Parts: sequence; C-alpha cells; structure tokens
Amino acid sequence: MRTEEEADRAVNLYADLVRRICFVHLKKQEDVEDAFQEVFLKYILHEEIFESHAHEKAWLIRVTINVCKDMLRNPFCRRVSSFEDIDYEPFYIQKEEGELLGCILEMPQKYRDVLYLFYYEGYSAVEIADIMHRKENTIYTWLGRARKMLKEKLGGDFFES
Amino acid sequence: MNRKAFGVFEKICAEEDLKQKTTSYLREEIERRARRKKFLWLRRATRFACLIVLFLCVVLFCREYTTPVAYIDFDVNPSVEFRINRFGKVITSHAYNDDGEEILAYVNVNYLSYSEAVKRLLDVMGEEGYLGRDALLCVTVQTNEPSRENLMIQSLKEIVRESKRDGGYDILADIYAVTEEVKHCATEVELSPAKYLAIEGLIEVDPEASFEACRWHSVHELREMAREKCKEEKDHYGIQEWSEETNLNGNEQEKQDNLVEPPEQKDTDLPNDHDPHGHGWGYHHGS
Repeated sequence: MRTEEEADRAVNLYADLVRRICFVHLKKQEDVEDAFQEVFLKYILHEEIFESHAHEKAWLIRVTINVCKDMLRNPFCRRVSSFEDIDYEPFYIQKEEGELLGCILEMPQKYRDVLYLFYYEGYSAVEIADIMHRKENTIYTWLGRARKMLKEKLGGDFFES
Repeated sequence: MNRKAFGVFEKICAEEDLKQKTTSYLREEIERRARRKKFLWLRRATRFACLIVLFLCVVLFCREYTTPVAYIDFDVNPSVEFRINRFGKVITSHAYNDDGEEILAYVNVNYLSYSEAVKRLLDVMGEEGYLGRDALLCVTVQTNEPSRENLMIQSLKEIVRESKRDGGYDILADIYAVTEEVKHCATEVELSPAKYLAIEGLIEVDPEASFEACRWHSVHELREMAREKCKEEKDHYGIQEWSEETNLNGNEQEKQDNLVEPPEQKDTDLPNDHDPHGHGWGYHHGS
C-alpha cells in the first residue's frame, strides 16, 4: 500500500485528468465523487512501481475509464446522455464550447473516450489502443466515426477555424 | 480537426473541495488498513481456529454418525444384523448366511431409520416366503443404553405386530434384548445372538452338538431339537415333560399377539446351569 505522501502527490497531479474522464461518463455529482475516490483508492492499493509518469498516467486513465464503466453498470447510476443532464459543471463554459461538449456527451461512450484522449490529452491512436486494450485499427475506426458525427452535428466550419 | 476546440476540457477541473475530501478519505483508508494489518495475525488465527473447530465438529459428527450404539439381529432363517447409530439410523447391514445375503440384495436399508428398515426387511421376508405358517421370527436388540433398549424393544414389537397384521403372517415372534457379552460371543462364532443362544441351549442338553454343526439350522429347529433331547432325557429319568406351548398358552395376551416372550427357565425341565450368563437363556427381557 502506498503512503499518504504518495496519495497526496497523485491527487494533486492527476485530479483534473480523473475529473475530466469522470465528466465524460457520469452524470451525478455524487457518482463523480465516488468514482474519483475509488480511482485514487485503487491507486494507493496498487503496489506496482510505475516505470515513468507516462506509465502512471496511462494506468490512471485506464482505471478511471473502468471505474466509470463499473459505476454505469450500477442501475442506480444515471447515464449522461446530453449536456443539459449535467447539473454540476461550471457554467462559465461558453455556448459554443457547451455545444461541443453536448455533442461529445451524446456520442456512444467509446467515442467520447477516444476523442478526449486523442484531441485533449494528445495521445496517438497506438497509445490509446494500448490504454484501452483495443486494436489500433479499432481506435482509428472509432476516431473516424466520432469525427464524422461531430462534423455532422457542428458543421465543418467549427473544426476548420 | 481543430484541437483547440477541445481546450474546453481545460475548464473542467477537480474542485478543491473534491480534492480535500479525497485526500482525507485516502488518509483514513491508509490508517484504517494499517490498523487492520496490525491485527491481521489475530484475525487469521481466529479464522484458523474457527476452521479447526468446524473441522473437528464435522469429524466428530461423522464419527458419531458411523459409530453403532445398538444392534438389531433378525433370525427366521435368513439371519441379518442391522447396526444402528445414535440417531436411530441403520449404518450398515450384515448377513450371517446366504439367505440373509439374498434378502439384503433385495432391500437397501442403509441410512434409513431402523423402524423403516425393519418394516422393509419384514416386507421382503414376507414376499420371499420366509414368514410362512409357524415360522419363528427372533429379533434381538443389544445396546448399552437401557432407555434406548426399552424404546427399541417396544418399537420393534409394534412394527412386527403391524407387519403381521398387514401381511397376514401367522408367525411366532420373539423380541428381546441380549447382553453385550452374548452379542460378543455370537459375533465371534458369526451367528445371530438368537441362534447362538439356541445352539448354546442345545449343547447344554446334548453335548455332542456344536456351533459349527448346528449353524445352518433355524432357531425354531434348534429349539425343537433341544426340546426333543430334553424329552428323551425326562422319559429316561421319568420327569414330567415341559413344553413351550403349555408355558406360552398360560399367557392369553401373548397368544393373541403371537408375540412370544422367551420361555422362563424351569428347574424341572432344564438343568440349573443352563444359562451361563445368568439371564435365563442368556437374555434379559427388554419390556
């Protein structure tokens, strides 16, 4: 089991990352809090030494996605199906940005993950495949479909600007 | 595709409150788990002790279940023994002769209550024609617990009475308890206690008889042989004859039920040292 110092360091370093992945999956604030704490609990119980920060980050991403999926299997946990469903996110997000978030949240879960990891975290398809334990081609396919869906909903201009 | 558009995620941050809650929670968890680790050996020892106790309970129960505390022996001529555990279940059945083996091949009585087992055995014996007219059914019980002995004798009498009534069998039935010593001696010569006592009785009046020579005779035949031998001797010495029938006819109730109590030893018709065990024909009455 890891020490309190290690736990504090991980929370400070990866809190936002975990929080964002929870955002694309979970709807209720309580669920997000539960998932957030569950991820870091798994972290302190995980005794394997990480090779690097990148390794540690990839591990946390995978665990967060899995914890969110587990929570969604719980019948008491409500799924996010639109941006309006979210009752807790900061409302200083501008309308245009909100539109993008809304479109992402309306997508199937697997597309949300690849879009977030590819466009925001900057992972390559190969790295995403490794994190999500999927084939590289599958990630490319998902990315392609996700892009197409976004283009259809937001129009080409939004992304080309 | 515009990566900048996804910068909107930058605005989604973990709230300070959430971070605080999580760090406090993690600290508590770490402390709690450390505390639990301290007493891990105690919990493991307790678990181990519980398992040992459970295992011992299972072993003791199995031992109790498979240890016979009573024996019921049947002799018509098929000779059969039931070993009964303290829960009143038949744990094993054993045949003393070929007829007994044949009977046991027809009926599986293991793990049945002894009353059910006796019913089934008598049914099969009846079907196979062993309970014909004037057959003598000897049932002996051996247990070291007097209360169990009384209960079993009463129960067996009731079962035999019911079987006779339901099956319409016209048989004589001797149901009585024997001592552990008699049972032990009978087991040593591979005989049922009833047959052992009958042969022993015959040897008393006819020293030429032996367990080996007489083991294939039924109890009924052995008693007849002993009676004949007594009669011959009495005729020779001019002593009044004793007969089982006259003795039995004195008890009207027993005659009606055809449940014959073992004959009382009489000074006039059998030698005084007839019963080596001092119980009158080697048994004591169970009821």
